[in-house]
Amino acid sequence: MLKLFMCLLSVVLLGNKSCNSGALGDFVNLLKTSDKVELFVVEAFPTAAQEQTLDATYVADYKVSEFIPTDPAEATALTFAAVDVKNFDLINVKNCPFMAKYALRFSKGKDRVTMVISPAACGKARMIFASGAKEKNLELTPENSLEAAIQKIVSKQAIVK
Amino acid sequence: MRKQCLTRAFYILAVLCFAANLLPAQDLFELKFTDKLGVKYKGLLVLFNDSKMYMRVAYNAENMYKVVNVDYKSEHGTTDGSEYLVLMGSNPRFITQSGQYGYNPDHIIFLEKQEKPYLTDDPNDTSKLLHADAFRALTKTDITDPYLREFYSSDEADYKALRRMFNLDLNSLTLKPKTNTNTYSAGTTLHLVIAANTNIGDIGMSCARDQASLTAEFKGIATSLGIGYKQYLINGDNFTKPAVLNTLNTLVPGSNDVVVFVYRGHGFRWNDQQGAWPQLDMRSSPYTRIGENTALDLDFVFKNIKAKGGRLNIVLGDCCNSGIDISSPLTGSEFLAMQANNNYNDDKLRALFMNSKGNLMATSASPGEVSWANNANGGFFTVSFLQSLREEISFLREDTADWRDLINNTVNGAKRKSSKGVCSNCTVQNGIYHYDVTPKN
Repeated sequence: MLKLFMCLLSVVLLGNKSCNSGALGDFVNLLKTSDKVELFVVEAFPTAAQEQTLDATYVADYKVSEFIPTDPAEATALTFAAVDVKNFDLINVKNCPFMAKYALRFSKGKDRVTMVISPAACGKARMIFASGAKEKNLELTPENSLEAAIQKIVSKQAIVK
Repeated sequence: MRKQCLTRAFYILAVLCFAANLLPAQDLFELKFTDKLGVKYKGLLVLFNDSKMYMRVAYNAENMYKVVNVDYKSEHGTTDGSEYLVLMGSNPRFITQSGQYGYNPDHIIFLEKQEKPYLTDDPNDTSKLLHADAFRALTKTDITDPYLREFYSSDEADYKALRRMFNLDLNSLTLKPKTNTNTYSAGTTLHLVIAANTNIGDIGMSCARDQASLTAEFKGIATSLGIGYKQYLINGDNFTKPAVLNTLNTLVPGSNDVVVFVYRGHGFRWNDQQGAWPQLDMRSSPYTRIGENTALDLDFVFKNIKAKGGRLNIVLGDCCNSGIDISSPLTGSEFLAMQANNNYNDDKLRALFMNSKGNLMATSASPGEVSWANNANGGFFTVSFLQSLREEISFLREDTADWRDLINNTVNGAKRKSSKGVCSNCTVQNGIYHYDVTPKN
């Protein structure tokens, strides 16, 4: 009840268009309108550009261990989960080290944004624009639908193999 | 958004940016508002700690001067990316005669983009919303005896405590001169070592906040006690394992000195780790890989400091204690900006820092658990420690200051802040500690 009340207050007093409309910032538009979504399994730590090798693939400096193909329905599910503010804690952060496992790359034309995922128990996400000039750290909520959507695709992939 | 918040009126920031569950101890605020019938109310909001706050509301009605006490608890959250803080009133109790009518407790709503809070006595009806006339943090110069008497009767314990806190009790000073602090303090130095990962993207802001709060607090304590003060900060680009080891090597406390070490940053456990204490993650860049050169066992820090022979050694780790999928590379054995208001009860301060000896190590989470921070306010554990410290040395508290109470309250405070009722997305953190502190002979 209180959250609903505060939401109404934000609309009434702050002039916001709706509740939680812009919490994820500039990244949301590209995510929502992307025409390509790719899912990768990546190493835990990024590799500095000067240490990267030509025989490996990197996404936002994270070395790719595996590319996981996705069908259109899965890509849509990943996009919905990536822009759902309920999946992110906008106030509190966990004091644990980011250990990447997955990367989602959203592309629209030449624009790219990569969401690198550190799964539970240290659930976090890093949003990185292709240029690396802009980055946003996000906290994943427990039982968020983003990790669930990724896990569903990865599990299916394992069965196919 | 945070920077915008920081530029707002200080006292609004004080409450708004500092979630009520993380509010500092013993701060006083004045709130004035007018109801729809034109009755004017003046409130004195007393924040004792995060689970105890109340407001005395004074007003004239029925041709009577009335004062009512309302208890408060807080809820903090975001809506549409903007933070809000609600102080929810309950249990109204008249201090003066009540008259014919009761008092519906007010809920006080702070919104990030509003200079003054809103009030309502019915959260289900936005038409009852009032905008406060004024809201401000009270300073020492505001607190006079006539001011306190607007809200308290002269025989109330909090009235007496507030008088002592603000040095209004001149008689008692005359009758009972303060002990000469020099007899207790000669040759004592408080060494404050803080390792804070202020550069890291996700929690850097909260670490910087804690560092500022801790340095202000302990510097104030040393000044109040009349003892020496040395601080050693390991932060920014210098946040490395060698920097901590180097600092520990150069730290040479005297036998009557106090050493306080606080770690604020990421923490973890090796997947084959046996010991209960976390590994401190001494990396300020995600490009640095976790390994022997970047991980430091909190237990190692504690033993190292303990071996130096200071009289009182306090080692705190505010970090996670959750597992990572890496084995140990080692063999063998790891809205308020909090204002230091210096309203310390010197006797209690002395009991903690001058009349105690021994060792205390504590960390914010049990093995397997994460711990939590808020970028605006700091780590739940560090904030709880500072709140508990303030509470322990408060004029409003009647019993003797004691490190075990302090650390118990710290652990419980951080647990409460991470509980579902306060932080819906958090998992509960159960801090652990090793306690070996006794009174100094």
